[in-house]
Amino acid sequence: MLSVSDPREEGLSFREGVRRWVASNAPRDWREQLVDASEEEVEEFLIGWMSTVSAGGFAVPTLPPDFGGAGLSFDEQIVIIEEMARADTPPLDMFMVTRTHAPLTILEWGTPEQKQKYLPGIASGDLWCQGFSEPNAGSDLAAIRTSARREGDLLLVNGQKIWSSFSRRARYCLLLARTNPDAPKREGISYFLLDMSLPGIDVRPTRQATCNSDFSEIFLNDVAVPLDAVIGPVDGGWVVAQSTLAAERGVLAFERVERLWHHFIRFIRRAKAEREWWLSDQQKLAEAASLLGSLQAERTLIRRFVSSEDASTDLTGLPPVIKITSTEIAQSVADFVIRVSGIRSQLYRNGFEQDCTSPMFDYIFTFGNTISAGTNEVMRNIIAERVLGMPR
Amino acid sequence: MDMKLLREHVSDVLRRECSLDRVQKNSESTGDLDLNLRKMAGDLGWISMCVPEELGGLGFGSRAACVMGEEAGRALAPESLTILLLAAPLLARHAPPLVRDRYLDRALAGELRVAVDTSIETPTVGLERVVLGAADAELVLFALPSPGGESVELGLIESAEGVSLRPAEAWDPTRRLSVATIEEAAIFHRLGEEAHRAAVRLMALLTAADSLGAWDAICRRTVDYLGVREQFGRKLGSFQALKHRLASLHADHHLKSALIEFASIEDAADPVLAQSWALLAKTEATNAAAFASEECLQLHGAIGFTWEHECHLFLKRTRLNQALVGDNDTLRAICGRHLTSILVEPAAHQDVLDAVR
Repeated sequence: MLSVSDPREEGLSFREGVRRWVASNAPRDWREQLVDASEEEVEEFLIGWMSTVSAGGFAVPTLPPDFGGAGLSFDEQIVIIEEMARADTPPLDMFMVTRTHAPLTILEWGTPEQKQKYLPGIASGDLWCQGFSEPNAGSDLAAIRTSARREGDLLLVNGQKIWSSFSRRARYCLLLARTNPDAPKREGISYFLLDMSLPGIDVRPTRQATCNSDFSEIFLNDVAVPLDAVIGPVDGGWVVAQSTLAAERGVLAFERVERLWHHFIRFIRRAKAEREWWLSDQQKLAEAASLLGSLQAERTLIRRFVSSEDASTDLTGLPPVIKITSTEIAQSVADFVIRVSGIRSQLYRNGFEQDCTSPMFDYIFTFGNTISAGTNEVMRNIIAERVLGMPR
Repeated sequence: MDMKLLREHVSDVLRRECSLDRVQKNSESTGDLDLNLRKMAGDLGWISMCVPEELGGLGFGSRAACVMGEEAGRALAPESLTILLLAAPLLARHAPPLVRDRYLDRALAGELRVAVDTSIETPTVGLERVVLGAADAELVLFALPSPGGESVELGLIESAEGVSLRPAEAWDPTRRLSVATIEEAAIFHRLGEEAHRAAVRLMALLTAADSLGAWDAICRRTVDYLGVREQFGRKLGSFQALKHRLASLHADHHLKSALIEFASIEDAADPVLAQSWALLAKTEATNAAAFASEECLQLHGAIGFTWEHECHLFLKRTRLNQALVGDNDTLRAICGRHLTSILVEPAAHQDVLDAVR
């Protein structure tokens, strides 16, 4: 298999090298093949694709070679995302925590031993999940009640986590638990790298409105965790959690928008080939133009944010703006695709990410992103209070 | 050219020379704000910035024009600065040599008085049209059908050659509109289709940028007002319902700003695509800015409904911008037709995309 560094030795540009790698390694016609596949089969397929991606060095492109990564630059990572979106490779949402949250957190806060223990596995595609939300701690994350009580050399973890994507299959979990019940809300939380194979962990799937069961609840019953599973300071996990979310730097939003841009254009291309009615309707053409404009604007906005050298605009305060706009544009695109698809959109068909082939799936799927990672309402509060400086 | 520095410079000058107080006084009478600003812009070299280097300008392109247009909107500046930013590159590149030699230097110096067709995208039927600019304009730029009628060209007419202008009272008190009547026997210059495309693209970008600046200015004022105005024993700005409205406007402003930035990147490779992005930037930004001005007037309460308060100036300015260049609903449909055709071609947007990076 071609590795990422080979093409450059042949004098190709990085982009050309990635394009060539994708052309020779990405599966073809996979969407058609997976239309009637079960959720299990889809996941098996995506795990297989992830191992191909990992072998090419693309799983976490920026991870240093010392930890099994390709040591690529941030801009090179952006090129990889662009080229995979253009080629419509299978989505890697399932490995979102593996590719961003876990490595960035461990690189920033991990001890040398923790880095050696976890990062090579991440580079080769270990599945990680996130254990943040709880039944009574959603938008108010600091209200978590899952506890970790010291018992000799171990911590005993008890509690319940919800909305944890792909935790059924995860090898590790980024877990927040309260280690000091007497401290103020944000000061008694610790951050754990939890081994999901430990006794006392029970994972039960939650069926979502999309019909799929990506989510699970995680029940933790006297799970004995070694002390070295704590990352960052004991009782200092809140700060670690903040930097996990901040470190992501818009890459996930960039990937989603980039992929949606290409999916929407493919949708229009199919509509042209089928001579769809709406392509001669002035009102629908106007709506399509607005959506293309919004997507193009979002691509430009996120590029401005992620490209390191552009200092012409003030970028602080952009993350909540990107969160709101990118997720709401995706919802508008799904809404439009439903309306121009008519009654066909109401016949059940499974979907993968937001690829515009199953409009209702896409539409319901988009709520996952307007709600998760801080609801858009929480984001509006953040913009008003922290960016605009409005009174609390 | 560092666009951040340009923005700071233009913004500083306009804050001083085109304060809200001066704008309001100017709108009450036939003041000389416009004349002063135009000359100052010429002295400071602003007009030359968007003229290509080989034609005697500084060659900073439409990105710089957008930055200046945005600041003009923020300051509610009179129309002639924006009109000269539009007219100078058109004169430089597309006018017949005699016309160019007669007018270009005066345009760059901020001395030339120009009026421009408000409906530049689609030619108005008949000889009478509404133009942006004062009735003492020396030149009028307008859209007209090509001789065969299959396309649209840019026309240029000198006021002595058969066009009469009379002032029209505009709802927007910060800018002047006139009615131009082109006489049957008028002698005018046909600058061609390419000039027309360039004019539409640049006027669309400048209008979008104007709205973007006005939008930001009125939102900032509204945030400030809600931070001091108290009712029910608390600051109005502490109500979440009001916060969310301003947060939404703020988020959308970033988006429209990015769209204008994207559309202003020079892309000669596909002029139809470039024009479509510019027109789309215009429809999206001017619609959103008019909505923002509505929201801000409403959020000010009764004070925002008064003549003395500036809210109505922003509302009227952003409303006029919606109507400039062409009707937004029609333009969006045109953009939809072009974009859905061009973007589905493989690699149609590849180069633009790489240019953004």
